[in-house]
Amino acid sequence: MAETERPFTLDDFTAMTQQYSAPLFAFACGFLRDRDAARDLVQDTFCDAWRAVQQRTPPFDLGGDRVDLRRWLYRIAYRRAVDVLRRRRVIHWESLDADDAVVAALPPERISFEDQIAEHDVLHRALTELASPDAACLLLAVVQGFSAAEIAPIVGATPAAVAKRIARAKQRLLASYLAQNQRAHEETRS
Amino acid sequence: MNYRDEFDLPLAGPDCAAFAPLLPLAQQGILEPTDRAMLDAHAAGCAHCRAALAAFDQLDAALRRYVLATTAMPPAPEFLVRSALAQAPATASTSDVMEQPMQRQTVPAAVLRRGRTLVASISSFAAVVALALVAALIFSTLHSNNMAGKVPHKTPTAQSTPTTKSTPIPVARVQVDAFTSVSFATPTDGWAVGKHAVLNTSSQNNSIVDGGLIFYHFTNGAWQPVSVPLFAHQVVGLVRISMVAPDDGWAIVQANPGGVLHYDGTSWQMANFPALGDQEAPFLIQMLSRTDGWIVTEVGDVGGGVRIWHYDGTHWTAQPLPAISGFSPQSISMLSANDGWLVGFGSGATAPPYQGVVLRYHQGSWSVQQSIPNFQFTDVSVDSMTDGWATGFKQYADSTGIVHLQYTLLHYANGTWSPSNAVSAQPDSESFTQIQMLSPTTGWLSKVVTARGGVDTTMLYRFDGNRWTLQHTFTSVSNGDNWVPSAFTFLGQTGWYVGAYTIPGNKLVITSSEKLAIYQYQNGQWTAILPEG
Repeated sequence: MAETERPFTLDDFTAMTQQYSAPLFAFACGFLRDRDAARDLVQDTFCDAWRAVQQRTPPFDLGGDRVDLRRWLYRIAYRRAVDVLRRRRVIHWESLDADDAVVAALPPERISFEDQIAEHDVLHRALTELASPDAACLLLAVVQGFSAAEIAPIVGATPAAVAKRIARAKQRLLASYLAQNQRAHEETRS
Repeated sequence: MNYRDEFDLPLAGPDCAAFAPLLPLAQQGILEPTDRAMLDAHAAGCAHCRAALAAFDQLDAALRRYVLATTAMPPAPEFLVRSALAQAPATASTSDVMEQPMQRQTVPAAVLRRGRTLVASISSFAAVVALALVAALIFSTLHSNNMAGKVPHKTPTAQSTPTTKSTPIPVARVQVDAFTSVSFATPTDGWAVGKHAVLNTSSQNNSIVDGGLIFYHFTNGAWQPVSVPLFAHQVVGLVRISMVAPDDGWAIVQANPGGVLHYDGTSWQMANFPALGDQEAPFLIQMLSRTDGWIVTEVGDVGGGVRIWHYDGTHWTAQPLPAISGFSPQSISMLSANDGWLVGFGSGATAPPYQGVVLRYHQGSWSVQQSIPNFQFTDVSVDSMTDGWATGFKQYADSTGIVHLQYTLLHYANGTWSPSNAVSAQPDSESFTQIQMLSPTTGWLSKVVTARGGVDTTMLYRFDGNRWTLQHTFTSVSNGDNWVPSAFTFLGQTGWYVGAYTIPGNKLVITSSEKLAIYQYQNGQWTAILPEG
C-alpha cells in the first residue's frame, strides 16, 4: 500500500507534532506576542488536528500529504490566533490601499547581546503596531517561508492581497525599526 | 514618507518610485519573473534601491532572529499528543498501531518524562513542569497555591474544545516515582533522593492526588528506604542532595513553598534557612564541607529572580550577584571555598534572545567571566583552576524556519570556554544531561537520545584525559528531562546512576508506570540494583 493511501495513524500524528510544534509555536509567538497564549494556541491547534484525524477530514483522510498538512495546521493556527486577538479586542483590519514605500538603509549587522535585546524590543513593538493580518502574512512569508499562494488560503485572501499585506508590513516594520535606531543614535550622540 | 533625509539614503532616481512597491517583496519569491528582472536591472544602476533592498534583507534577518529568540520552550510534542488524546481518545481506526490500545488512557510516563532537550536545560520549576503532562498536573496543583503564571502549559479542558464528545473512561491511578539526585560522602555511605507522585488520569481529567519525597540510604553495603515525612503528600519538583559526611548532608526541595533539609546523622529535618519569598524555591546546591556550601534559589519562571546563598557553618547568607537581565542559573560547580563557577543564561526583560553566562566566584565575589551569544548552559563541572567542562545548547532556524536545538560540549582551557567536538550530539534528538569531572584526566558525561514513540536511551561517556569514550548505554532508564532527571555520581572507581526505570518495549503514551532505578558501577561494570528482578 502506498504511503499516502494508508490511514493516518497516531504515529503519524505524533510525528506531526514533533515536526510542526516548534515552527507553529514560532508563528504563534510572533503573531500574538505572548508565549503563554502561543502555547495554548499550538495545543488547541493539535487538538483540532487530532479531531480531524478521528473524523478522517482531509488532509487526514489518508496518510497525509506533508504540504497539505502544513498548510492545514497554519490555517487553523491562524484562525485561532485571530480569535485570540479578537477576544483581546486588539485586532484591526485595514484596507489594501497602497502606502508610501519606506526605504532606508539599516545600520550594519549588529550581533552583540545588548543590540539583540534592543532589536528585539523594537521589533516587538513594531509588530504590535501592525494590522494583524499583515503581521500574519509577514511572519508566514519571512519566517515560515510560505509563498503568497500558500499564505492565501491560510489567511483567507487572494495571493495579490497577501503580497500587498507583506509589502505593507515590511515597509511599516522597517519604518519603525529605523525610527527606533535613529532615536538610539541621537541619544548616543547627545 | 520620505526617509531619505532622515536616514541619509542615496538620492532616489526618477524611476525609483515605480520600483518602490517591489522592493519589500524582492526576497519573498513573490515577484513575477519579469518584475524581478526589471527590478534587478534597475537596482544594478541605482544606489538608492540597492540600499533599500539591503535594508529589507537585514529586516528579514532581524525578524527571523526575533522569532527565533522568542520561541524558547515550545510545547513538548509528547504533551501535545497526550492533550489531544485526552480531548478525543483514539478510535480503532487510528489506534491500530498501538500495541496496547486499552492502556492508552493511563498516564503516559514516557511522555511525561520526555521533556527533551529544552527541558533538560531549562530547569526552573516552571520550565520543569512545562514539558509534560505530569508537569502540567504539577502545575495545576501548584497553580492553586498561588503559582499562577509560572507555568505556560494549560491542561486540556472541555472549555477549550467544547465540541469534544469523547466518552469518559474510568479513572486510572498511576504511580510515578523517580530518583532525581544522588550524593555520596564516602564510597560506603550515600543517599539517593527523589519524589513520589500518584496520578489520577482519565480521558477528561488529570490530577495529582498524592506526592512526597523519596529518600534511600546506602549504608552497610545496601540501599534502604528512609521515611522522610517532610513535604508529605505535597507535589514537588526537583529534589537535590549534597552530602559532606555520613552524618552531615543537605537537600533542597522545589515546591511551593520550597525548602532546605539538613541531615545530622540521625534524621532529615527542615534546616534553619532564611525565609524565601513568594514563589521562590531552591534549585541548585553544592556543599563543600561542614562549614562551606552554596544554594541557589530562583523565583518563578525563567528569569524571575535569582539569589545565591552561602553557608559558613552557622548561617546562610545571600551573596551579591552581578545584574544579568533574565538570569536563569543552571548549574554550580565549586572547586574550593575561594573558587567556583555558576553557569546559566540571561535574556531580555520581555523575552530572549538567550545568552550563555558564566559566573566565577573568586576573591570573595561573583562576577561574569564569559558570555556566549545565542547559547544556554545546562551543566558545568570544573576540576581545577585551569580546566573544566560544560554543556549547553544553541537554537537555530533552518531555511524553512523550523527551529532546531543543537547541544554542544564546552571545554575550559587557557582561561576561556570554547566549544569542543569531542562528543557530538545530533540536533533535536540528542542532549547532554550531566557532566562530572573528578580530575583533569577523569570525567563522565551523559547524553540522552530521544526516541520517537519509544524509551529514551542514555549514553554514558568517560574521559581519560585525552578523549571521551562511550562507556555504557542505558536503554530504559529515564533521563533528559526535569520530570525525572536521573543523575549519576562517581567517587574514584565507584559510581552510581539513579533515575526511574521504564518498561522497555512500550510505545509512546501507553507506558503506565515508573519504578525507582539504581545502577552501581564497580570494577568497570554496571549492575542493576533497582528495580529488583
